[in-house]
Amino acid sequence: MNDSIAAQVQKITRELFGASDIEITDDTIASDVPGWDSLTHVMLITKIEKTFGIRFTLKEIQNISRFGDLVALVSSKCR
Amino acid sequence: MVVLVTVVQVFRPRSTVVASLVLGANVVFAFLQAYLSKNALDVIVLIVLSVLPYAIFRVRPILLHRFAVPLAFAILGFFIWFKMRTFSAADGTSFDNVFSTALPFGYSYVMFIALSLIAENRRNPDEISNQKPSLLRHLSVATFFPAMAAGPFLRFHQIADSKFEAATPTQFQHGLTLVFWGLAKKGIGDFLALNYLSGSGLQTTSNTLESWLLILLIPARFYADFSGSADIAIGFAKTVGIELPENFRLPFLAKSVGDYWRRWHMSLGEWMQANVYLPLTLKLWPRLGKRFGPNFFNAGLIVGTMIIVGAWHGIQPRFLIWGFAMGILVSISPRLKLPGASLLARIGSIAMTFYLMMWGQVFLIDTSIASFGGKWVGMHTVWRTDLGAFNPVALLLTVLLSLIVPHAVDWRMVSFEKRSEIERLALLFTSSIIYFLIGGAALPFIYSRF
Repeated sequence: MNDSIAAQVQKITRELFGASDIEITDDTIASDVPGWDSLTHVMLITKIEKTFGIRFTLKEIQNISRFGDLVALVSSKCR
Repeated sequence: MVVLVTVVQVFRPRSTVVASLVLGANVVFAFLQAYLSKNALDVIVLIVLSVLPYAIFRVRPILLHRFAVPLAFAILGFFIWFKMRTFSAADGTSFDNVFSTALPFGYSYVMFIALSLIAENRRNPDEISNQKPSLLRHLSVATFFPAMAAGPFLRFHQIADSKFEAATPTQFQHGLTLVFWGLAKKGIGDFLALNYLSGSGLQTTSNTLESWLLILLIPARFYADFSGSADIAIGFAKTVGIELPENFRLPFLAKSVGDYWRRWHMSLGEWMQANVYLPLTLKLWPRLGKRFGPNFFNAGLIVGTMIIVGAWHGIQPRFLIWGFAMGILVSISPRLKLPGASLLARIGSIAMTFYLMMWGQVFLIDTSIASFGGKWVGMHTVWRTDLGAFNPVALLLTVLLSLIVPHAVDWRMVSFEKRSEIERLALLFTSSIIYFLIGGAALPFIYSRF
């Protein structure tokens, strides 16, 4: 379950940032991915919310710093 | 506050008792404030703002969700009304009148918590209702008077971080050092204001070099005063187990205007990002994003957010213009850095950012836009060498010390609790020596007027 969520979140992230050649791991942070700024962060969140049918809190949106945190959060909301 | 801290440290009571004692101290302070200012409105406004949105949230969160927009506009409406009264009362001819305010003491602090509760509950009512603090804990933090003067501002969910436990010896030492250091910085700010800045504004002289040195004291004074008040609040909070967020992180070392706003009044920046920028982006991006394109859309939102920050300072056109200019500077800040990663490029970027933000502060406090324009043009085009009003060596030394010492001590204050015992004691000793030499508040905190 977690692996498939991670794969899906990774796919959305790659599509949004056009980052097919960048390795995204759990420890990847926004500054590792070119173009990941405050606006694209919100675009990513919106896309994930729509895909998984979930809703993040404002605190969560602001506090996500690692890719692994994002996947864990999506997994916990999809349970 | 000293009595409260002593009781908590000596008796180390349970967290509910600590929260009750803090709330009791807050109530005493609120009534004292209302009595001294002869204005009962201060207390009434505080009670309504801190209790009403939270009470609705506790009893019927769905009601707060449904009426979020009208309630938020009502709270903001009162804020604007108070600010408009300020505007019409001010004659705009002196610094004090520009910043004079009819705003009840602590309105901003309480308002920001109330508005973030409304925003967080509107965004995701199911999850936020699982994390609600008790009414006692909420009120203890939402009316915590040392922070009401000038923040740091909290978002609603941060209230749950406070444990209301008596501090450990290291935490207590940290809190005490911060209080002394905050008072020392306040003393430095007041010393600059009273001796060099003609009370609280600018002093123009017929010697251009001297005028430049005096202008450099404006950001030094703002930083000492504002970060001093934040340190006092954070320090006291630490001793009674309240968690207040960091508010300053060496802002004079910022390499761009965007970086500066991540280091100056951080709690306001984070609040604005969470409760203005984020909700607006989430709402507007799907509708307007494609029409304007990401760059233009983002710049528009940043400018809009910074105009709101400007309006928080005051409703006068100057503050809105200042917010607009800051928004533009933040939007283009990734391109405003000097190219390359060399030491020279880094120093150049820091100097350029300092220059821009210094003139931004001068714009805020100057008596009029025309006066600001005249001053800026005059100081960049005319070189006067008439006899100055101050001893140049003493003035230069004051500028260097007031810009460097606060940042140097603040740099060592980072990760205070992880530093060696000797360094912690050295920081406490330095803070208390400066405080006893120069400290204490001779003038009101600048930001208590917002």
